[in-house]
Amino acid sequence: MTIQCELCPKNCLIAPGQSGECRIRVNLDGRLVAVTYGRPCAVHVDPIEKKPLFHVLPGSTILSLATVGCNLHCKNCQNWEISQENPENLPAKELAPDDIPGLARQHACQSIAYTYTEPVVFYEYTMDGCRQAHDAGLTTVLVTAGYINREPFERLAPYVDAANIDLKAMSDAFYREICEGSLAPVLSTLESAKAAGIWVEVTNLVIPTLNDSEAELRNLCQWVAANLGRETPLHFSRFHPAYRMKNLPPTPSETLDRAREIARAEGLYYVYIGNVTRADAENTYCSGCGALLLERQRYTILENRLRDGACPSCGTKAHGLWT
Amino acid sequence: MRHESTRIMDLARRTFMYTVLTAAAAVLCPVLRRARRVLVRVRYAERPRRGECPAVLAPLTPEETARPAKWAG
Repeated sequence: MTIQCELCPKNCLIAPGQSGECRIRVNLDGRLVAVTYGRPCAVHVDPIEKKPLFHVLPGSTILSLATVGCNLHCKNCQNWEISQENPENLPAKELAPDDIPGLARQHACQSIAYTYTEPVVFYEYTMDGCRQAHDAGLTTVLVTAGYINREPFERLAPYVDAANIDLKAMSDAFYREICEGSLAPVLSTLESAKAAGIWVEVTNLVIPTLNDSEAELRNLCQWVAANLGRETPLHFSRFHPAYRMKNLPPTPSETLDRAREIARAEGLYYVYIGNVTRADAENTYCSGCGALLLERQRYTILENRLRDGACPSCGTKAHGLWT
Repeated sequence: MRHESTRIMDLARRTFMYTVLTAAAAVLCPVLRRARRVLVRVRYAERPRRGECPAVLAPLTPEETARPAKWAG
């Protein structure tokens, strides 16, 4: 009996014994089974700045989990060894959702992230883990490409506190040709996340010649400002050649500076440049007076001047989840 | 004895019918096969039953993979 999986916009038709495009949702004798449930292939303690989340519990550590699998197939994937692999080919750890909060506390983590691959595809594990974490008073985080149908996302949203959602480009052609996906569902997820009260930060990986035109960057910034709000942090990340896209050079520093200028000109308060080691690239400044609030060097907080989540100079409240 | 033109017309008619029927079958068979297929739409997957999807277990513990907390600054 063929199954149609309606979790994500791919709506895969899955014959018996086969999996969907994500590789981990399998038709076993007419039952759709999430075969990586409770079997993460990556369990790490990371600085939360690595996600990147710059406005959530700065300077804290976050328990980061991933199972194998992804429903997109980006040619430039940085984690392709686990995202584009079959579950039976990688070692996994047994970690039930009930055990996740205890593990987080054991490692002094205030939050838990579903990250590295695509938490959407191991949806049931993410959902159960987020519920358990909420019950234990921990903050829950998704790092996702947002390629999921609206109804399942809205069902998951109440258990998610913060998310970094990739907006890979503002062009459907880019999503189709580079990622084997489409743009509209991602925009829909971003809007749903915002509407559900999730703290959203957006990441855009700037790839030379593919999504770095001034028009596209401006379009992206305008969309974020208009639909998610000017207080939404936007991270422009530097591209590094990887996986099936080794033919392009790393993003020039000037391109990232130009992207940041465009974003600021479009009224966004918090714009960052990621994947580079440079002073000033990842600092947070007050949206009221421009004073330095958080000084960062890669994943390290050098100085945190926030006072009760507000600017010490002018008292303007900084946007984010600070405690 | 049949006239030559009748024989040619008969052959043309048979060829035409063969072509039409073959084309129709080529179009209809996949459609019919798909229409007969039982399709179940499922949004949420089941959790695997015990022992159903044995993972390859490795000695991977957070202690082995985690970076020290102080590394975060």
